[in-house]
Amino acid sequence: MEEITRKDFLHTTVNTLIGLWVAVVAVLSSYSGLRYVWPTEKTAGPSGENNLSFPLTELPEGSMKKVVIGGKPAGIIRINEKLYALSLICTHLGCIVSWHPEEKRLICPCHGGLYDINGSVLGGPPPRPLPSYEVKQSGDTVVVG
Amino acid sequence: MKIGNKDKKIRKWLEKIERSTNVRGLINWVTLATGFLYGEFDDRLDLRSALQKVLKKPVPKHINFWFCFGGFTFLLFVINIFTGILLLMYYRPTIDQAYDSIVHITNNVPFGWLVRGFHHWAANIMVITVLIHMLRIYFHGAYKHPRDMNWVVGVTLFLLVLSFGFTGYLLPWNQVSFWATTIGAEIPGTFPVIGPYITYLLKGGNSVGQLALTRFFAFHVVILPWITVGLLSLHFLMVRRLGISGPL
Repeated sequence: MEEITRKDFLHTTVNTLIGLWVAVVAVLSSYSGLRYVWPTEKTAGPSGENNLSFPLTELPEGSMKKVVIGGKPAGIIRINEKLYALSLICTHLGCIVSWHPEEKRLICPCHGGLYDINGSVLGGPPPRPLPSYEVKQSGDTVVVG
Repeated sequence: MKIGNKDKKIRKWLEKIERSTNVRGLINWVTLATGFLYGEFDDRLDLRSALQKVLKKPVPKHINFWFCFGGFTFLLFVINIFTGILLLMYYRPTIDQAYDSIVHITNNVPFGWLVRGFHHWAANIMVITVLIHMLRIYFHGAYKHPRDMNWVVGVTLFLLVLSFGFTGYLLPWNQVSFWATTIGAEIPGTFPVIGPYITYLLKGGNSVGQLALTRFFAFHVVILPWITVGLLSLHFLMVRRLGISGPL
């Protein structure tokens, strides 16, 4: 066995520590990198159908049915035998607006934004009307999109 | 310690095993990075001596902390390349989806917040380190002949870093990026005669829209990176050729 000098010892120690550190960083970053690129249902992006249909019996007169269109909340409203499909995301700060059948209005619970049945702004802070979707009745089913 | 007879025997025995099983070759293959460089490749290309010449080049005695900022900038640039490639896996450069895709990266993709955070902070810190690097060169007088050409390349690289920042700022497509780009594009508008045309070209029309987003995206991820890589190689080659400037 050869004698180990102080210099060699420090050299080897420091090199080993650097090597370990690099190995740990390499393992951690390749793990998170792989998790990052690995396709899952969650990473595939906002999913959801743009088209959907359901029987008319699920939507009584004067009520609203909550659905998901293109991954975003929307409401189908039936009033006076007519159908309306509106986005439920308030255009002010993105809260979910609720349907008030007695006033026939959509009201945002956050800051009191008021919308009518067509999505137009009646009052409150919203800058734009609620976006609407195409909806029609075919036989006994409601078809959106 | 003295080498005893027993130790000699063991050593001979170990050498015999090593030769018969080609242990060293096996280790070289297992430890891929060093194994390839110092094993199979070195066997053919004599990489060891070439690498030693590059890596074991001594630095002058007067080097201190302030000489590190060029290297810091390069490290941050490499981080931005890696995280930028990762962000490209999910980013969608359309005015409908740009903001949504960035929210998606931050909130849904595993470690997306980390990747985006690294890209954001490395980009911000890079501007600071590149400025400190530039000030160091200036106050040490390291920009003088024969390093004057490298100073010119360096200033161009500094402008490229700022262009990276300007183009990258638009990509999230939120209010702040929209108005920052509008203001940035209107600054050259005060220039006589050709000013309004430059603004029109930068905005891609009368207001910042899809065209501006597409072009800023192209500049940010393809055009600027390759120009930067080319100039950086030149920068480093000249540093190697000319050496580090002398002490104050």
